[in-house]
Amino acid sequence: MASSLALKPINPEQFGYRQAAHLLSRAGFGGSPHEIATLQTRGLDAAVNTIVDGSEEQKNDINHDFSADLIRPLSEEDQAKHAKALREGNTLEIERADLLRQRLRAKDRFQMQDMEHWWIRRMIATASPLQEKLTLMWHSHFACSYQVVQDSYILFLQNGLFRTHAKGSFANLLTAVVRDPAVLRTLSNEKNVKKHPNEHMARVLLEHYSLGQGSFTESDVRESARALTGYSVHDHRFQYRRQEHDDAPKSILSQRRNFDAEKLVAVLLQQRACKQRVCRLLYEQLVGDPDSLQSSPEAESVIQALAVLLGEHRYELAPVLKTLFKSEHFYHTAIMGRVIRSPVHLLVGTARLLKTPLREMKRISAFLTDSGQRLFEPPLPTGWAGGRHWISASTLCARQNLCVYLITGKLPRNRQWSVHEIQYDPMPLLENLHSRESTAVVDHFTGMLLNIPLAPARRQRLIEFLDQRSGVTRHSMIGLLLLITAMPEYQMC
Amino acid sequence: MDDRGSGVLSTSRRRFIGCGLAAAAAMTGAPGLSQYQHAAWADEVEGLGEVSTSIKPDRRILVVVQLSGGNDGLNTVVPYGSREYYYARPNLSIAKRHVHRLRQSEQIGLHPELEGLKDMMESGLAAVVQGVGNPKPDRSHATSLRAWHTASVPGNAKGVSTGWLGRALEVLRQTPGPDTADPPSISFGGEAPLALIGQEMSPLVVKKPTECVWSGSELNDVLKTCYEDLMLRTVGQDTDATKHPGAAEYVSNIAAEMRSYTDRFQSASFNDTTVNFPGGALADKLRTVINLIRAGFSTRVYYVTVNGFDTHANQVEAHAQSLWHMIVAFKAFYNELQTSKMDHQVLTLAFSEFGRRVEQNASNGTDHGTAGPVFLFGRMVRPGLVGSHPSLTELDQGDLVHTIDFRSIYAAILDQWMGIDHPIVLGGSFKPANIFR
Repeated sequence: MASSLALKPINPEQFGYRQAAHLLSRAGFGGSPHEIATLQTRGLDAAVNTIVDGSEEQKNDINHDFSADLIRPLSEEDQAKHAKALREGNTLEIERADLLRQRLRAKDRFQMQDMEHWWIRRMIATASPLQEKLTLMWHSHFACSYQVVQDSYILFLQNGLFRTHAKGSFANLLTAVVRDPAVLRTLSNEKNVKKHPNEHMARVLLEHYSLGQGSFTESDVRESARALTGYSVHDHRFQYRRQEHDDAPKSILSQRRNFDAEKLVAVLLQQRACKQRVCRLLYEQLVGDPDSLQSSPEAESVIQALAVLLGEHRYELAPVLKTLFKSEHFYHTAIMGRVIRSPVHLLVGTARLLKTPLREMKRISAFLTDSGQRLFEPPLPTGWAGGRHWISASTLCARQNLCVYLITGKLPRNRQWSVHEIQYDPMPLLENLHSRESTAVVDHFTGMLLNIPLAPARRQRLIEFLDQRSGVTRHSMIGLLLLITAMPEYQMC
Repeated sequence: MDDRGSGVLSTSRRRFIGCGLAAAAAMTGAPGLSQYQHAAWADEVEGLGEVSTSIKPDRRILVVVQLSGGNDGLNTVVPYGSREYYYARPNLSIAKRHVHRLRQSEQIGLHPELEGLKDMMESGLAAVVQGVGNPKPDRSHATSLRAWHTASVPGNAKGVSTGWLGRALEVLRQTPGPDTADPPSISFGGEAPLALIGQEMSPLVVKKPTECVWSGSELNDVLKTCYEDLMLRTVGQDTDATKHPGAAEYVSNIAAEMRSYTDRFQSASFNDTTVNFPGGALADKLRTVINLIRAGFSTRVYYVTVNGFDTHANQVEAHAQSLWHMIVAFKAFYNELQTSKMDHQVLTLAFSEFGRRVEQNASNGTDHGTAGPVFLFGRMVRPGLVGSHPSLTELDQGDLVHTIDFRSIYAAILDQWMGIDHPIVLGGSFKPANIFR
C-alpha cells in the first residue's frame, strides 16, 4: 500500500507546459518551445508512452562502421614468424613487427577519438534522446575505459550493447555484461583462473554493478571470483576457457551450487538489494542528485516502491520508467530544476536547443574532458558520480566556455578569432515572438533556456544589458545567449 | 626500560625480524622506542626544537598528497632483512643489492627508485612512518579512502559527512586572526576531497588556476561587466528554495568564488621556478602550490591527488615509475621551497588508502592489503624511519597488521602543527605520533 502512495500518478490536468518541459529535460536533453507544446497537447499518458517507447522516426540516428581490424591477435603464421625471429635474433624482423604494432595502436587511438565524436554527433541528432541518455548511464555504471581496454572496437561493441538494452531488461543486460569483453578486460577477469582466482571483477560486480555495499560478505566475493574463472576474451569476442574454470561447488549468498557466471548473475538478480540498486541508479540519473537523496525521505520510499515494481516486471525497465514519469513525485517542485546536469547534457542540450553550428569535434571533446566527462574514460570502477561533483571552479569555467565556443566559435584566449567566425544567427529563435522589447526578449530566452525561476534582480540586469546594447540585434542576441548560458541557473535541469 | 645507549640499537634491530604482535604493540605505544631509532641521527640534525615554534601558526601550510590506488608499502619500504618477504614474492621482491640502505637500519631499505627519498631523509627533510593503518582494515578503495578522509574506522565512516581537515579549518576559523578572503583550502583536480569538507566549508577546486577565465569576457566590456555582476550576485530565492536548499545555490556559490579568485590567480606572478621542475602531474601541481604561496595566498591546506598505485598486474615497471615520479616531484618542491626559505613553513603528508597483500598474485602484481608507509616532508619533521615495520610472520589472513593508527599521525599534525586540540577534530584521543622535532 505504501508503495502505491509513493508512486501515485499526477493528475493529468496538471500536466502543463512546465511539466512537459521537465519531462523532456530529464528523459532526454531538453526540448524547444515547439516540442514542449506538442508534447503537452498529447496529454500525460500519450506523452510518457511516446518518450519511453520511442517514435517511428528513429531511422535518422547517425550510424558508423568502425574497423575491427586494428587490434587483432597475431595469426598463427605471424606468431610462428615472430617466434622464429626471436630464436634467430633477427632484429630487423623484430623491429618491423614492433613498428607495425605501434602504427596499429596509433590508428586505434585515432579510431577511439572518432568514436567519441561519432557518439556526440549521434546524441545531438538523435530522435530517441531517452535511449541515448540511458546508454550514457550504463556506460558510466558499467565503467570501462580505453586507457585500460586499449581496443576501440571492443568499446564500440559495448556501446551497442548498452544501446540495445538501454530501456529493456536489466536482467538481460547484466547477463550480457558478465560476458562483455570490455568489462572482462577492465576488471582483470582474463587473469582470473582456477589456480589463482583474481577477485577484481567479483568485487566490482557485487559491490557496484548489482548489490551495493552491505549486502554481501567477503566470502561471497571470494566464491564469486571462483564462479567467474575462465571467462575471458579473444579477438574482440567473449571466450570461455573450460580448463581455467573452477566448476566445483561454491557458496554464494547462502546458496550452494556449481556457480558459473550465469548462475551467479541469476542469484544476484534474485536479491532485493539488486532491484533496489538498479532503481537507485535510475532515480539518481533521472530524478534527484545523489546528494539531495540524503535529505529526502520521500526519495527513499519512491526508490523502494520502484524496486518492488521492477521485481513485479521481472527487471523490465520500460514499465518502471513509465510509472516514474507519470508519478506526482516526479513533478514535485522540489524535484523540478534541481539537478545539476552532466557536461554531455549541457553540450547536447545547448546544441539542440540553440541550433548552433557543428563546430570542431576535437575542441568540443576537449571541453567535455575539462568539464570532467570524457566519453569512454569514465572513472573506474564506479563511473561519474554526478550531482555536485560536476561543479568546481575549473569545471564551471569549462562549461561556460564550451557554450561560448558553440555559440561563437571562440576559444579561450584565442587572439586570432574575429567576429565573422561566429557563423551563427540566433534571430530565427525569436520567430514566434512579435515584440522586440528588451523585457519580452529576455523573458523569451530565459523561459526557453532556464529550468528554474529567475530572481527579479537578475532578470533586470539582463534587461539592462540589452538596453545598453541598443536593443535587439544579432550581436546583442548573441551577447544575451552568452550571458544566459554562463549563469549558474543554466547548469540546472 | 632504561636502555639508552648504543648497545640497545642492535637489540631493537633484531626485534624487527619475526617481530611478534606483542612487541609490535609495545613499539606503537612507546614513543621512546622510535626515539631510539633516531638516536644515531638526533645529534646530526640541526636546529632541534626550535623549528616548529619559529613559524607563526597562521603561516603554517599543510600539503596533503593522496597516492591513490593503494601503494605497495612492502616494495616501497623494503624489509630486505626478512626471509618471508622473499618467499612471498618470488618475482616481485626487490633484491637486497638493489635496495637503498638506510643508515639507521640493517633490515629496512628503500625501493631502487627512491634514492631521492634517502637523500631527503639524510638532509633532514623527510620521514617515513612505517606500518600505518587502522584497526578494521577494509579492502575497498572507496571505503578506505572515506576512512582516511573522515578520520574514522572503515565501516563507521559512512555516517560521517565531514572530513578531518574541513573540521580542523572550521575550528581555526573561529579563533580570532587576520580576516582573509582567501580560500582556507585548495584542491587540485576534478573534485573536492571529502577530507576538506566541513559543516559549511568546502575547498576551492581548480585544475589550472590560470585558466579560469570566461572567454566571453574578451568580446566586449559591456558583456564582461554584466557577466561579473551576474556571477557575484547569488541566485534569488523562490519560496521553495529555503525548504530545499540545494544544488542551484551550490553552483552559484562556486560561480561567485571562481569570479572572486580569477583576478588574483591571474595577477599572481607565475614566475618560472629557480629549480628545474620535472614533468608530471604531481610536479605541476606542487609548482602551482609554490606560486600560490608566493602570491600571498593565506590558504592553509593544499590537496593533491596522484593516481597510478593500484598495481594489480605487472607491478614492477608501473610501481617503479610511480615512485620515481613521486619522489622527483617532492625533491624539486622542497629544493624550491628551500631557495625561498619556506621549507620550515610547509609540511607535506603523503599517504595511500591501504598497502597491498604480502603475497604476490598470479599476474605479477599484488592485491589490496592493509597497512603501509606514510611519508612526511619538511624541515620541521623528525627525519628518518619512524615506528616499526609490521611483522611478516604474524599476519592477519595474509595481510600486515598495522603498528600505528593513522589517527596518531593526524593527532600530531593537529596538535603540534595546526595548534588544535586533536580530540575536537578526531572525536577521540590518540597518542600523537612522534613525527616532529
